[in-house]
Amino acid sequence: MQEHWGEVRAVGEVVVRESYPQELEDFDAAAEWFRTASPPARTFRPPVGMGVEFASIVPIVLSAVSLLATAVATAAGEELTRATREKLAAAFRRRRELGPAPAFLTPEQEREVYRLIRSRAAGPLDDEEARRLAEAVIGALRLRGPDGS
Amino acid sequence: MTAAAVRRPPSATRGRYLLIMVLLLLGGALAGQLTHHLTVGLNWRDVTEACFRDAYSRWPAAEDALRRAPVINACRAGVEHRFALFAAGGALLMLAGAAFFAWLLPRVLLLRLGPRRPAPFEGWAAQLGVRRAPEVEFGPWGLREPFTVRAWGATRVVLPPGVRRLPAAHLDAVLRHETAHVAAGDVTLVWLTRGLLWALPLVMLVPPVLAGFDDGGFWLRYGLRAALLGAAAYLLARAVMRDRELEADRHAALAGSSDALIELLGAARGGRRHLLSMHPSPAERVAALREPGRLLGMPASVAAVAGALAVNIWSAGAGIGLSAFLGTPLEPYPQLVAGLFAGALLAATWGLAVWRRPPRAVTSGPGVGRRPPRAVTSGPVLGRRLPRAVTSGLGIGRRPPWAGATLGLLLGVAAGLLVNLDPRTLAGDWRIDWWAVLYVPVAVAGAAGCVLALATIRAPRWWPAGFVLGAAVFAGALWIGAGLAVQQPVAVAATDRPALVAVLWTAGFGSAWLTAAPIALLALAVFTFSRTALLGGLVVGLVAVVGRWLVPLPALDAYGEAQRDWWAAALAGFAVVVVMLVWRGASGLAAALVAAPAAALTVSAGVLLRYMTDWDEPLAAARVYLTRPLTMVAVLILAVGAAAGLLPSRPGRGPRSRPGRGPRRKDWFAWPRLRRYRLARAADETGRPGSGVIGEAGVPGPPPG
Repeated sequence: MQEHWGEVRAVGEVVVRESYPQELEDFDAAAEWFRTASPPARTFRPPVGMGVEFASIVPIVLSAVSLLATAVATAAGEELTRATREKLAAAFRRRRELGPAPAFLTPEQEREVYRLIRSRAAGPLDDEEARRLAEAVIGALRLRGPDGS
Repeated sequence: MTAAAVRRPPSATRGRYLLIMVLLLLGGALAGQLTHHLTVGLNWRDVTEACFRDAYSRWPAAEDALRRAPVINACRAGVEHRFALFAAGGALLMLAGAAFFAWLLPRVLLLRLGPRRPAPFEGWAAQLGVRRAPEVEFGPWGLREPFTVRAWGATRVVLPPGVRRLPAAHLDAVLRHETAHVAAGDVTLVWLTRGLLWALPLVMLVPPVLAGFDDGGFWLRYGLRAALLGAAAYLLARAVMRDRELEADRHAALAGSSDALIELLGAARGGRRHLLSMHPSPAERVAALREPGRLLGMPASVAAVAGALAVNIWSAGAGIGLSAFLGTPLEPYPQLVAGLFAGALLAATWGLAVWRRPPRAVTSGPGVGRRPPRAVTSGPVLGRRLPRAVTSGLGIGRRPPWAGATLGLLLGVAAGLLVNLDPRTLAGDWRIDWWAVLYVPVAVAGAAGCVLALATIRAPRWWPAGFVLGAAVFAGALWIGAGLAVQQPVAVAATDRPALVAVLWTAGFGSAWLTAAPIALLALAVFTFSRTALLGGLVVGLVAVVGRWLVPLPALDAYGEAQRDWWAAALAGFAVVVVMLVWRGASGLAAALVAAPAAALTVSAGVLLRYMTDWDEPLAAARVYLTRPLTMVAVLILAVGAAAGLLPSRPGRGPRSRPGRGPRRKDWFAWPRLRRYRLARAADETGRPGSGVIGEAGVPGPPPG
């Protein structure tokens, strides 16, 4: 993930700014924590907690976006078609100075990504929140599309 | 937020913590005893054999047994004291282990959690009755749930950063819930519970590791007991933690977060909840908030564990006590002391649960002074009025909520007798006393019914007296149940009466508890006294006296006639018990605790008076006629008392009511007043009329948040 961190962070910030603006204030600190924390430490449930979860959205957003960034090389990518994986890989490898990105996800590919995000976010979030996150990520990817942002 | 202080609710989980302590002590003591056998057992055997040889060489004749016994005991006292020290050492090691883990685990948790930041929230502590406010902190970004922990000299409420996107009312609810845990003293105790789960297997592993598992059958039986202790520990920990969550929710709701908590929990997912989950499901928590009566009662599993541990405290404790006190002036008392401990344990667990009631809410604040009309907040129970929350919690007027717990207690006592923690039972040739497995559980469940009956007649503030009486009744039940098992073969063999009659005769008219049982029964009668019940008992007694005199029976000798008198008195009392139990359940048993002795003593008094001039020793005769029927009544109450927990409990109409004519006029007038009260409360709580839900009748709802 580290090699795509700049893109992951940028897409994640767009998601948070557009859909969870009340957490934007914490974005920098949360993103830095997410970058340095080991994957097992990114979820912590105390053994004697209240029994109701109030997950911070920033790590979940970054987790979802980094999932897409690494989809080409990880098992998560098996849920996506090859064309989708390649487009995502290209998008997250992209450097703005290299010029505009290629034409971005087709509607069917967006649906694939939507389903992937929604299923992975169903762990920490309830169904409504997971749907909202998936829509927000699709929206951010569109914003990061051929025209850049 | 309001500044109104909310009193901390009384909690039955205190008794459950005591159970956890007992479980630790018993497990540690068993491990300690076996460690003794593995390390110095051969020396114990050699010294014991030498003591017997020496005593027999000095007094070899069989009739010298009473002279040999004290010499043998004095000779063996040293090794027996050492054995008791090993048991006590094991118990202390277990406690120390649990305390160590309770100290260590919160620190490990905070270290694993990582950096925390102060959170700008305060002000809930005073409202929830906490003198030293906890420090509120934000945990790292990966933290999902709020939790409270005590470490490094401070109590800390650690919040996930995600709570910041909650609405203010929901954030208040979260903080109040966590502060309610602090107010209830849960923080240390919950970690002690977790410490138990870590310490128990480690300490229990010491003996088999020392022995190298060289006797498969023995260690299999030991492992079974260790597994049962572990299962009991888990059940207790689960019950404690689940109840603590519900109580913290309730406390937070009373402080003004009722609606917010219901919304929060309603939106929460069941997620990782499962049958063995330490947390109640969100749905259960919402239901308990809407209906606080659900907080009352006792899970059958906890009752079963309480019963099993109580009989083990009694049996294993008596064994250890016998070793500890051997050769000392306290030598005759280990069984009595262990029985009282076991009785106190049951009184603290079953008794506290029975006497518990939902908290009576706020002590100040808007709307607090307004109370619902008395006539509708209370239900008359044999002339006394108890809060409806209490009467409903006791199952008065609806299905009995104690049936499962009663059966659990009964089965737990039986299980504790079948698989107990006396190290002798680990030997392959240990024989089970099946009569004890029959009598002791029935007697203990009967005692539980009596304690339930006490709680129906007296308000919760009487619980300390109820606790003392309950401990005595439970200890007496253990004594009588075990005594009956011992007497059974002799009682049946020594007479040509039917076996049941022979056993009852011995238990009621010829046992060691002929003084203690009547005293206990009279103490219960004083505690539950009601003129109506007394009058009823006198009437039944008079009818029985007349029947005893008028019914023609073949003449017997003087002793045979005296026995008929005792039976007549006892059966008059027992008839009252049965009728009242069937009619009114636990409330009926409460009345019967007054009426039955009254009926029995009326019969005895009638016989004594009739033959006043015939007695050679009138005082001795009076003592016999007073104690024997009452003892029989006490034994019979223990035999059937469990029904108090199994049958629906119905309150009486009270001495001033008009039987058969329905409610009195002032009660009819009270209903519209109740409706007005509810509407007013709803308006107070929600700011709009008629839209709120009152928590429970008789208990004012929360102040506006």
